[in-house]
Amino acid sequence: MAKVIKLRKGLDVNLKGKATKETATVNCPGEYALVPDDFTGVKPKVVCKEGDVVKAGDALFVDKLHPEVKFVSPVSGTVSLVERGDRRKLLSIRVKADGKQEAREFDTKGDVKTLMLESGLFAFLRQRPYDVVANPEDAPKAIFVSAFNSMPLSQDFEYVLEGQEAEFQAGLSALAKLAKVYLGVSAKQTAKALTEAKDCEVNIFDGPAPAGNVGVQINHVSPINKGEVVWTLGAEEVIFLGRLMKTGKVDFTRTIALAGSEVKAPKYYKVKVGQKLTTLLDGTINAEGARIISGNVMTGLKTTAEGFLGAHATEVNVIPEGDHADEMLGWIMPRFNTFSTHRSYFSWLFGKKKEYVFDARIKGGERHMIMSGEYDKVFPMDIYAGYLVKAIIAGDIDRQEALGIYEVAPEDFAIAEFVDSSKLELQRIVREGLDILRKENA
Amino acid sequence: MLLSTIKGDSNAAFIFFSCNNHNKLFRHIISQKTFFSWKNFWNVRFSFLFFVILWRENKHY
Repeated sequence: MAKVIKLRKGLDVNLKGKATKETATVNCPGEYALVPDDFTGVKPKVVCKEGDVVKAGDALFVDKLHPEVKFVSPVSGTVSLVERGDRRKLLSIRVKADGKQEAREFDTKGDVKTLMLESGLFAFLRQRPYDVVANPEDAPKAIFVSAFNSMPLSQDFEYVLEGQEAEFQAGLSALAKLAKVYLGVSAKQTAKALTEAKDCEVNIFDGPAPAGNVGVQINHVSPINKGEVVWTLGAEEVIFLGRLMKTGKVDFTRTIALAGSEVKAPKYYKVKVGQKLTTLLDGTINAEGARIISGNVMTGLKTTAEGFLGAHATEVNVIPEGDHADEMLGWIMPRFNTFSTHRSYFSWLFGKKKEYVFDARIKGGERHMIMSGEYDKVFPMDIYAGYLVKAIIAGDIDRQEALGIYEVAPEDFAIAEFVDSSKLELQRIVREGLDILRKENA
Repeated sequence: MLLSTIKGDSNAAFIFFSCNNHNKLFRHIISQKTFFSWKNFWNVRFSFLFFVILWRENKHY
């Protein structure tokens, strides 16, 4: 029987525009892009040039510090652009798909780690501490996979898993050859492929967001101490690995949720990693005054319809920008349709099932940081979030270590950033703190 | 860089309406960049302070 871990801290925000359980496919031809910035902590070195013909699974760039970690093309076609920015920073590598989807064959009989490194799947593994792409030289204590995302408008993995149970199990079994695997499952999920998964320890998490964050699960199951390393992998990326083990070919097809109040018919779409968003968004959203987010509203990146699907993104959210939101009497007006964490408005009278439309306004300016325990109410980890953020801002590394910075990732602070009435960019602060710490400890 | 696109309560609404926790409320008020120091704070009337906050916060909304 799986262990049930109950979490009380957190916050569920009920947003309008959840994806209905219906999957559509979109046209695949066109441009695909691999963006190095999606793989945090990597120094990219390009190993292809414009005009090269590549198959799915052929390397486009490698990590300069660990050249064995390859970042591969999701499609077959021609390298159309190696985009560079200021000081020749690599922004993206674009591949024009030929529509044939020819894939490179890999030998699945050998060592799993070598296979993952060769096929580009290792690049999807992230490590804690620092929340960066895993170092192949490390021996991790464990590998954590979270089978659910508790953030608003996120993908329902149980629905995505339908019909791919065998691949998921094959992926878990392959991972188990590297280290002990822990699978985090939601109390609402009943699929046997999750609750009775083999070759891993299943833990059930019951609680509000961010219970689905792998960082929260690590903190409750097997906290990281100094010197220890754990790896994490997204649930859909386990399916990628399963497909590779079964067929010997890479297939980076995801089922993503196109959701949000500005989407005409929110549903699921089968797309490939790095796909151009135009193929997905043409005619499906109210484009005027919309904020398109590659990823989740809480943790995603602002993009445009011309942008590309992020490597780790499991959803694309579209919400109103809020540029022309004129409200009579501004914030002082009593109202029923605005969400409030602190019961500032009467909307709490309608219960938790009421759906809200959020726009991208900040609703205030950056203020002094107040130690009022605001973050701790929504931070279900055994860490003092407020003090940790202060230590990061102050650059006090000893204190950061004492407060448990090795266990956190920016996404764990997403809900705290949402409720923060001082409007601080907590995820940016934590990312910068982790980057500095990594440099110091290198 | 990760960023929460949506935000919860506005600074102002939080301060003005969420009076259930007075300690929190006071600390928010004194953190505003007004000319009141902690010592002077106790000398001013609440109503006047709220008026100042109301005026300041509306600029940011």
